[in-house]
Amino acid sequence: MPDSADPLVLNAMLYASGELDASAALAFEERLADDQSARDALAQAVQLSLILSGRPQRPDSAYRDRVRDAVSRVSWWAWLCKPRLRRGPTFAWVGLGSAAAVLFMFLSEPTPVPTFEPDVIVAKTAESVTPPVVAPVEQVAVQTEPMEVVPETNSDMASMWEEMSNTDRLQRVHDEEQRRRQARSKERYRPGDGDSSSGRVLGNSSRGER
Amino acid sequence: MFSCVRVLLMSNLTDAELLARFRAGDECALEVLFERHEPPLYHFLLGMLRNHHQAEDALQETFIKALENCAGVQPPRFKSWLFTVGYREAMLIKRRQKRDPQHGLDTAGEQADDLLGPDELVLNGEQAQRLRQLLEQLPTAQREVIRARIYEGKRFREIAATQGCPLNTTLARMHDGLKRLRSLWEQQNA
Repeated sequence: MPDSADPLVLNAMLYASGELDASAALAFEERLADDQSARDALAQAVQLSLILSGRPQRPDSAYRDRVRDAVSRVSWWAWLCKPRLRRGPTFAWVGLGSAAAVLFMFLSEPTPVPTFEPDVIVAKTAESVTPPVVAPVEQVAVQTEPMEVVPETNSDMASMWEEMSNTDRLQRVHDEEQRRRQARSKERYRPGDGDSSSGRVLGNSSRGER
Repeated sequence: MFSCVRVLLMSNLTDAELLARFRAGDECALEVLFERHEPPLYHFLLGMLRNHHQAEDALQETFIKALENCAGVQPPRFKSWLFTVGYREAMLIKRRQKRDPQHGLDTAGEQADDLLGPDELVLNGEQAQRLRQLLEQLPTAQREVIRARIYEGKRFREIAATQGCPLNTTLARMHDGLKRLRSLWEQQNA
């Protein structure tokens, strides 16, 4: 315990009684941050003064129950997080967790929406539209042209597809497929008129007229 | 409840041993740690905050935080660790109070305690009478300083000026007088 001759104790008495000026109080507080002898001096000064105040020397012990409750409540979390001397199991758990996270990422990745390049679509539609019997190449080409907008070149078509959302693309492919099916069924019913009607059914008569 | 016998038996253990037992789930060890470190820590917090209610709150938070995070603390430095956590807690309360002067005070009129003065509401007549009698047993110089500070409410600088002595002499007389008074008080109560 510090001696009374120690200026630290006298300073602590002044601090405890609030008689230090602001700068000196601040300096003493800074010292309290890491100087255990200053802390002990302050505790001693206060302990001595309490005899005169008549106040209890110790706090109400009810706080101990609250501390016990709080410490036991977090103990499972503290157990999980506390640093351990043996690093092995910790690393094993970290590795296992990482593997689980990667697996989860793969499993939960949404199914990619198919994106069709215009040229691929043209080729595919050409295949699907080409009748089993040999058909003129020009006719097949005409059948694959989109209905509403007629792009001039492949690059125009590509840019147009680029601007469309995936949903629009799918919708468009779906519509075209529907039209082709209708055209094919009409061809079946009118086999004799197949050459001239297929272009009209697909709505590309304008191109044929040009 | 805790066995007093066990607490007594464990009071000879070091902080390191008590911490090891506490980590193993022995709550009796926690009780011994309370008994050992509570008084100085409480007085330290009271000295910083000058308010009993705030000091009790800070004490509770200090123990909770210190015990939650004591895993990495070297057991011989447990006391220092407790005081460091307590210091931070007290500074936190002081900063909050600076921002909001009513923070932590139950009533609007509650002010900081005068640690070196008697609390007339707490100190009953019999105790006050006993203290006055004990005061008479002190050397004159010490008695005069204590009287001037406690019963006349003078500041230490004023007392030093009145007695014509340096401030540190006045403080030393006060300190030694209180120490003697405390010793006499404990002898009487024993």
